[in-house]
Amino acid sequence: MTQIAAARMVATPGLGERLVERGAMLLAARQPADAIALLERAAQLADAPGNTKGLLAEALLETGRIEQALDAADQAIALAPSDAPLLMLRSRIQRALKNSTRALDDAAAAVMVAPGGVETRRWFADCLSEISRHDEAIFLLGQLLEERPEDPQRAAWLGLALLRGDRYEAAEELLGHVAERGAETRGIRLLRVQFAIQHGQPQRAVELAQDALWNRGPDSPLYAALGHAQLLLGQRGEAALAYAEASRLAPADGYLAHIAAALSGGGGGARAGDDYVRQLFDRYAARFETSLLGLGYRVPGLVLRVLEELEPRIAAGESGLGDVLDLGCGTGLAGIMLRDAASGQLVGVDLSASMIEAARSKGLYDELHVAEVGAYLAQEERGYSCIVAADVFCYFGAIGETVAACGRHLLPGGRLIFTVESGACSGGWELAQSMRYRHSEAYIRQVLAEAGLVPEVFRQEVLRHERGEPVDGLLVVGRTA
Amino acid sequence: MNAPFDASALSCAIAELKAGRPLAAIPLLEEAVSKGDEPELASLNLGMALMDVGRITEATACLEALRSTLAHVPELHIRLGQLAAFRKDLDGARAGFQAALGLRADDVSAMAGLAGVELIEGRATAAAPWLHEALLHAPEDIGLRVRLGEVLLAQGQPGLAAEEAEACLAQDPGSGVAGVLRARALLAADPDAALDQLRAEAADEPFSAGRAAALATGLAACDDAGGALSQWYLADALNPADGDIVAGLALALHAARDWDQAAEALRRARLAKPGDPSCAAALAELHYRQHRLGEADRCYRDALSSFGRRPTILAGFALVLAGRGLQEEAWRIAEEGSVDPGLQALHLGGLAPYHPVVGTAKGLAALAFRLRDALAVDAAPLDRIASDPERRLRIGFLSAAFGKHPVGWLTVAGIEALPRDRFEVVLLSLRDLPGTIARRFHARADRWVDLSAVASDTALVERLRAEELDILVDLSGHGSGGRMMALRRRAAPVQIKWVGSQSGPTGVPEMDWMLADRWEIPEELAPFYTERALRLRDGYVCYAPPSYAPPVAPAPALTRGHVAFGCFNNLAKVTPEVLSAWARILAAVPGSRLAIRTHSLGDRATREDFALRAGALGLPLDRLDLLGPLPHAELLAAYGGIDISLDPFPYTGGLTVCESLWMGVPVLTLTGTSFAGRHALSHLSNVGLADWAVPSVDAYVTEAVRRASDPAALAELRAGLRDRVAASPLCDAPRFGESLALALRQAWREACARDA
Repeated sequence: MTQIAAARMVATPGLGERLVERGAMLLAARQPADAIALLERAAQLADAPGNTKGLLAEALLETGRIEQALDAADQAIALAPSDAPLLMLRSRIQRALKNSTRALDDAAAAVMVAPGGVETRRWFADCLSEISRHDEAIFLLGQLLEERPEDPQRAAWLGLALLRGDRYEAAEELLGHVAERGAETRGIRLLRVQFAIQHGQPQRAVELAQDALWNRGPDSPLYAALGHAQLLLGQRGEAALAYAEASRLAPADGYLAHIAAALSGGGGGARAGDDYVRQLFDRYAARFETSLLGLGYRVPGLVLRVLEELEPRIAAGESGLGDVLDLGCGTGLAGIMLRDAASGQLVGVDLSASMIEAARSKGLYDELHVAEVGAYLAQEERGYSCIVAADVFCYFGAIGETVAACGRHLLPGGRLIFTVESGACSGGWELAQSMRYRHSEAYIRQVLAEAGLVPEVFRQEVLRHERGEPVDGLLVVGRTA
Repeated sequence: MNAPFDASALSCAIAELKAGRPLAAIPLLEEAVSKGDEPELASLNLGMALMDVGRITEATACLEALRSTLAHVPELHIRLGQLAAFRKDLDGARAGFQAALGLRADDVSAMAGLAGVELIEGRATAAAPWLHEALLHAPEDIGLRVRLGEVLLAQGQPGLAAEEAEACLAQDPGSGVAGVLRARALLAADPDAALDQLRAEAADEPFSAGRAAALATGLAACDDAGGALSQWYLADALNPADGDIVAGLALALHAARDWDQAAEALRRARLAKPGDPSCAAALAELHYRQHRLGEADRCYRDALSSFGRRPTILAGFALVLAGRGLQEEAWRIAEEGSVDPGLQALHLGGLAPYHPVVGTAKGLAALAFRLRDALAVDAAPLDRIASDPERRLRIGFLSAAFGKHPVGWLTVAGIEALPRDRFEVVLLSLRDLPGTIARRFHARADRWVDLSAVASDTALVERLRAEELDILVDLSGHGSGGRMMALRRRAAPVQIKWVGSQSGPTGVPEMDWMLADRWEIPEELAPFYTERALRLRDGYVCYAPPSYAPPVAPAPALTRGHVAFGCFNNLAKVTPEVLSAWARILAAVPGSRLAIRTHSLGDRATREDFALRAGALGLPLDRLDLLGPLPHAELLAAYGGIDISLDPFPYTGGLTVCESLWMGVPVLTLTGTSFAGRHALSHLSNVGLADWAVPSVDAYVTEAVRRASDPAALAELRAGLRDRVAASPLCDAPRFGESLALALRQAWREACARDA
């Protein structure tokens, strides 16, 4: 800006007020991008009105410019530390940044300033739910509902908190009333469907989902939940259709594409999409270990046992394996077994950030990387004495390239230890209706040979149980020739 | 007590005028005039004040009356000249400005006015000397310099025009008109580099309203309507007093169909830029869009007297008259409004289906063939040809109405049912709509293309061609938001017209087919189309009844003891001929009532006007219920109070017929020969009620009276009607999907044979 023009404009009386007033109007009319242009200019003026930064923060948040929104909100709060709406705003920004604790702090501060505020208390409760302090959230929202029992909106808030707090029956009863009063949103209905599934009521979930699809129109998450419920009811044909719809409505979602392909018997791609694996395990991380252990998961134990067989020093409780790479390390279940065996570095790689977080909390690994296995190997320059891929290749169809890449990263005499689910599949591998791949023994032998690895161990094992049925697999150790 | 007050009215008014408050001055001046307090001076100032607040018609009357008494006042002649220029009376304008110059040789306004007249007449060279001379007297006058820039631009010197604009912006960074000129000049000089330069200039001077207006103009020229609007908001916030900026903002909001914000901005623009005919026309059109036909009528009449009988104003006024059912009057205005034969055929073509005399297959055909002959053949033909007759086809549907709209309700189920393995569906959306039906469209789309921001026809066709469609189906027609005319540049090897202002032949040269059925276009009517008839096995649409439709109510005639007729159609279809027929029916069925329910009857002025006309045509007002709009579910429920729907003619009901039948109410229709005249016949035939379609007005009246005389039969029909409709081809989406698939395949095979 030229100095003359700036001087003119600063001198224009009322410009700041006008820019802010109109910016606020545009924001209220849900035109945050238009508002920003005005508010940013107001913020440059020496005599900018006091609420400029707060409005700017809100507009930035609305347009997804979250970091800048936080910056503006910090500046606004520095000027007005006890402004409840500003504290609420920053709390929402913190939530958008996934800073749950800071979001809670700001929400609590807002309630302190405005203890009677409905929206402040509701948001505070929401922040409590977010960090699993469900009882407090339920208590707060219960109070809100008591103040105005006829308000279906408040009933919906409490219902959601009950759902999240695992009080399924109470939540469902309340939310049923909310729906009857026409105050149910699409999001609430989706949660009801998902929780019905979690609480063993797939038939109820199917009814809720179909009703919403009919009355509210198609929707990918609802179709996905419907498909899930139908799978649980053994209705594979219907589930295939539902997942196909869900996937078609969200074509970028690799997770849905993978399930739809598996159910339709299409054979699937040469491997599960990164999206599928990442989402599967991100969703799963919190419950992963209890879930797997509950399934009689044996793979980490099998890995340790075969190492003990092959390396007597390990059986004797000594380390000496050198550097170990744990591909698809997940929450670090194999790491527990490998830590003592690895005399050098123990490196873990997984596609799911949530899984890596869980693994990190165990404190077992020297390094952890969020990466796709193939991509990691392509940029890794070090060699390893041992590479472990426990229950990883069930998400790959064709594994030739990955095994070959592992072979190239093994030091002389090094070993690749992995498991696959086995089956007599004609093309060497196939996508099963479990959404995982199965591999034939002949194919695995061929892949090892191509990678220049000698099959040292080749053993049929039960990898785990699924719905009471054993899942058969192969435990394989290939050694550099 | 009176004397001193009277004496001060004029002086108070002058003070208000000096303070720039003409609105406040007007009542004081009126008082001064009526009290005889220096009446000429008061009248002159009143005329000028009225002009400054956009009350052009009144200002003209006021100032014209002073011609003889104040002939010696240059200001009067200048104002009369300006008012004449508003009306495009260029001789009058020139006379006024020259008279002023005769009285005051250095009058800058008169010189600027004369330059403006020359510019309008296309004589830029003659305009320039007036401006140069004026600038000698008033070198600081930005208005003069901007006009000089406009002259330079008209003379093909955009570089010099841009420099002139730059100088104005340096002097007043808040000037909207200078900013607009800057953008126009840069765009003319180098269209590719202009936008970047305008952006850079705006970034460099973030508080300059003129720069924001310039960028807005540049963005709009580059098809970025959203970005342009954003800059207009900014410009207006930076300098709300600038008339050109308010007008720019108002027209951008109007174009974006944000009626509420546009209304507010247009009202401001009328005050800030009273001589702008675009804003006056836009405000009138806005009333029309919001179904305030009475106010729209008044605004258009005022715009016509203020700004002359300009084509855009006449075209809009014709629509208002048509919207009130005054088809004959609308026709005359539309004829006057378009001199170009192609445009006239297009405008009249929009009115013709409603017209009691012209609204026949033959009448529509005459206009459509005229339009087709007037439209130039495309110079850049499509380079794709049709081949491989049996492969999976890529079908594009072009519409501004993928949502809760008649087009949505009548096509969504059919498009959903189009077999996926044989057809890829590309939905080309001209306007994004919310809601359940919109969701269903999104869900069926294999590909969704947002074309809402594509302004020019050329750009639209380029985008459509880039989609590599096999077949393009138009769902918007010549109606509001439609882009039918763009398709004369072929966008796909096969082009088909379907629902969406589908009232007759389109007259667009490259449209190959009209999707129809054996009722809509029987063999003997096919010669009246510029397209070939592509007939589906059953009806040409598939109705998707809303999930929230209430159950069918018991027949009201049985409980009330009298028959209730109803018509829930758009008032444009309710012509004097229709009203006369209804009057005969009510006269012949004692105690019966007629409920007319439509959007514009919610507006009091429109309702009162309609009642007057209906009464004059013999309808008993005490037996009429004139009702306004309702939310859709309640509208459907309102059929619970109707025994028989009376369909209008010659433009029959489409979705209204489907909804009436779904709600258990049979529809009596008069079958015409045009496409619009046979919608109801098609729907009724598809549900097995072809005997409710009659061939003449007399039969229409007789049949209404006969049906009304048998309430028991009506009740029986009503009780089974929804099941009947649900089981009929009208609602059988899978059957329709197959039928549509066959028709599209047929069109494709023929195109393959053509292109082989």
